Amino acid sequence: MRQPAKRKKKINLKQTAFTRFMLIIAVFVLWIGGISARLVHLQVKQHEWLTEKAKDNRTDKKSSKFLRGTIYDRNGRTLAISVNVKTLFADATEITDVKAAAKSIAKVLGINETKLAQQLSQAKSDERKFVPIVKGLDTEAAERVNDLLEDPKIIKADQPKLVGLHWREDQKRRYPYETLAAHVIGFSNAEGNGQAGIEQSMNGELYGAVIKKLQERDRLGRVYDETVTEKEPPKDIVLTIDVPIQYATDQALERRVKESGSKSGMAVVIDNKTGAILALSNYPAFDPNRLNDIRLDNLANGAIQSIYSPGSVFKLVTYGSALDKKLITPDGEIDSGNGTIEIARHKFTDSHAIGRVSYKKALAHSSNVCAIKTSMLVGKESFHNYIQKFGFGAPTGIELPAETGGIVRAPERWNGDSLASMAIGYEIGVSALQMATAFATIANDGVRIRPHIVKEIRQSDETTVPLPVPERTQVVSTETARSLRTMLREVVLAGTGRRAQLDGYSSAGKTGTAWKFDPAIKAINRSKYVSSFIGYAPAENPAITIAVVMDEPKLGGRDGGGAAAPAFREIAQTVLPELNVRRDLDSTSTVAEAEEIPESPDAGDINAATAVPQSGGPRINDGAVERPRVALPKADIINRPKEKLVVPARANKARDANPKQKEKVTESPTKQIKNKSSSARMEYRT
Amino acid sequence: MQNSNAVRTRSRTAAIPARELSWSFMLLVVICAGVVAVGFFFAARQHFTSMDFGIKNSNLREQLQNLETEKRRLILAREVALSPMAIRKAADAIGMREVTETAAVQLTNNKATINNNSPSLELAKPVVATSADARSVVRTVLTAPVQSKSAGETRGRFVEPSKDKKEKTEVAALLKLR
Repeated sequence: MRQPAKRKKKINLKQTAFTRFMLIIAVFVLWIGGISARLVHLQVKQHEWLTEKAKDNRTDKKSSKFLRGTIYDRNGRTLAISVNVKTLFADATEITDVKAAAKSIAKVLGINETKLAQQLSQAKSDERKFVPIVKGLDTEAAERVNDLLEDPKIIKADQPKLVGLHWREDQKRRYPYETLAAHVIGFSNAEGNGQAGIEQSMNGELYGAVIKKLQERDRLGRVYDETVTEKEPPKDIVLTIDVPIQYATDQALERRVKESGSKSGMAVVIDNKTGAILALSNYPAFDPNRLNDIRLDNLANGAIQSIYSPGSVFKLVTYGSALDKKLITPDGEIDSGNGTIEIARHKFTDSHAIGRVSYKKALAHSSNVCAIKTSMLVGKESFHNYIQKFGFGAPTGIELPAETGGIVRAPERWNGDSLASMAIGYEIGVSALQMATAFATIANDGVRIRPHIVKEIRQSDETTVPLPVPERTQVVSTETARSLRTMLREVVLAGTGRRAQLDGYSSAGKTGTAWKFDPAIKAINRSKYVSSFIGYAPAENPAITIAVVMDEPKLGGRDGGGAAAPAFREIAQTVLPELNVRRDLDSTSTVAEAEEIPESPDAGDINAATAVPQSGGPRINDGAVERPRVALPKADIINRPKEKLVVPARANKARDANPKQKEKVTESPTKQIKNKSSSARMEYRT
Repeated sequence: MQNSNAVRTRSRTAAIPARELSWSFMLLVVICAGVVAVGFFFAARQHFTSMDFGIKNSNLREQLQNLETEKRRLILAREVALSPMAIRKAADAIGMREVTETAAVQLTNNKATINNNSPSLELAKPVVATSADARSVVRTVLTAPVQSKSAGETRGRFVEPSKDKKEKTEVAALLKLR
């Protein structure tokens, strides 16, 4: 039997191909579906997180400050400049092997390895990201450190190429001239904020704003795009200070303070025609580069912040007002009698009786009696007006912080002898700058120009910001100013200021010596003076005014002529040629016409302690602004000491002997204190 | 009716002739594809050029900043060098002495016969610069003392100290100073 042939199963090739194809498609669909689902998940659910991560990977946010503005002198010499410095710090969280890192760093920087390792371990456990290692390195030193720390195996965008180490950009303020004009320039703190001087008063212009940079980096860490937030760059300040003049002033003042054994000294040099301050000096000074070494006592700018009784230099106002009212003439005569005058039962004396003399001679000899008599002619109200017109009792407006306005009481609060006292420079508080400005006014034909120390403000594009023109005020007539100048010339030629004579230049000015109030004994201390000389040169066509004030000179001539006039001479002798001022005298033609008359606040036959109730007067006090025990205007109330009557020295002794009477006001034998304001009186000898 | 049937039959049986692509069409497609490709190429090139410019720009900015820093450093160094204090220190270091006013007068009076015993005219002995003064001197030219041959050295060869070690010591010293 024949077996039926095995029927082959018919394979449908098309069907097979189709099935296979569909399988593949299904696999692809599943695969793409899976990917799509994941993509959707990433894009929708984790969108924000991923965006941030991507941004973080390629962008870098950096905050830095503009370098603080530069301060220049009038000739473009740099007085204060900020430079970039770098701080090497470790991010302890990034360091895996603390010991190895400490070893490499210590080796390169020459620091204690164990100490550094401990520091880093501690920081790592605290998860601190900023551990400063070295501060204040300049670019050159930072480059060297980078080279030494570089490890070729480490791929890192920034330097140094050692894991966990980074640089931070900082800035450092430098003052190349150290102590020169330190009180004018001031200093700024670590945050770049001015703390004193021009640095403080012009902080708004000098301050370097914070700028933010958004940098995009490629995989190698190279920046390919950078967005910077626009900020106005800081401005530069150009001062009217002149470095050579300032240096000469500083040196002369320092030398004179040391020679005279003074506690401190201050000097101001003003350009008469413009009111520009060419030098403003205080001694002792400080070095703003070494903030840690600064003594607080030396910080204050005494020339504008301290007030003192000017003494005889204030006779400028007395005679100036009388001349302007045409009550006297320089050659007119006045009788000083026996050198004593009694006003409101107080005796004022001259150091020596000069009899009947011209007003010129009276000023040259610094006669108190003549000045008091002259002030009587002028009158209370009128004299007060002139005091204000000369700029006393209000800040001058110089661009420096914490300037004092001084103390000038309203006439209704004056005592019977106040006019006489003020005529010779007591019962009034002034600053050295105010006094210098008053003399500059006379030197400038009676026109007072507001003193200023900022010459210009420069913007980053080298253009200048327009500054207000200094105010000009006619205080006294031109004729009065000329007459007063002839009188002041006489002071230097034949009076108390002979030591202010110059070689090759004529000069004029006035000496002043005032007793100081001593807080320890709460009375006038006759062994402590404030001696000053304020003058200008050349006498005929004055170019500059120089004020020199010495606080408590102890050696040699302690009066203004002995202690301060030589400093004036030294400064003027250096400054005038520097300013190309033509000589108006031959070297040999400076001949004194009279014997030297030392100005001295000798007690004479009057004992101040017993005759006049003493109290605190305006005084210099170690740079701090102190107020006298007088009725103060409202604006001055902040620093006003407690109202307290003070008894004279002799009365103090009696009081001390009897402690029970300590708080009781004791009357002097000759005079009784009638009210508190009368306690402002002082002993008057100039 | 016939006519209509005939038409239907023909349409069912007749093979649809393959539509041939014309050369011009092909060329157009190729050109378009080329333009797109070139466009992509240019776009990519511009992108990378822009990146490159960005990097260069950033480098230039950094260079500008470095130059500004260097300029400030040099200005500061110049001002320090020109300051009267530095000049005085330098003068002291070379033995110059300040002439006082009295000494100057004496000098003028004794112009003809200089009194060698006068203390005011006596020149001070040169003071050896201290390390602090030495630091203020800016080295402008690199000089090194001639090294003497030590016993173990072969002729014409000098054993130079390790540059790395030298640099590390310098940096360490610099940092100590700070």
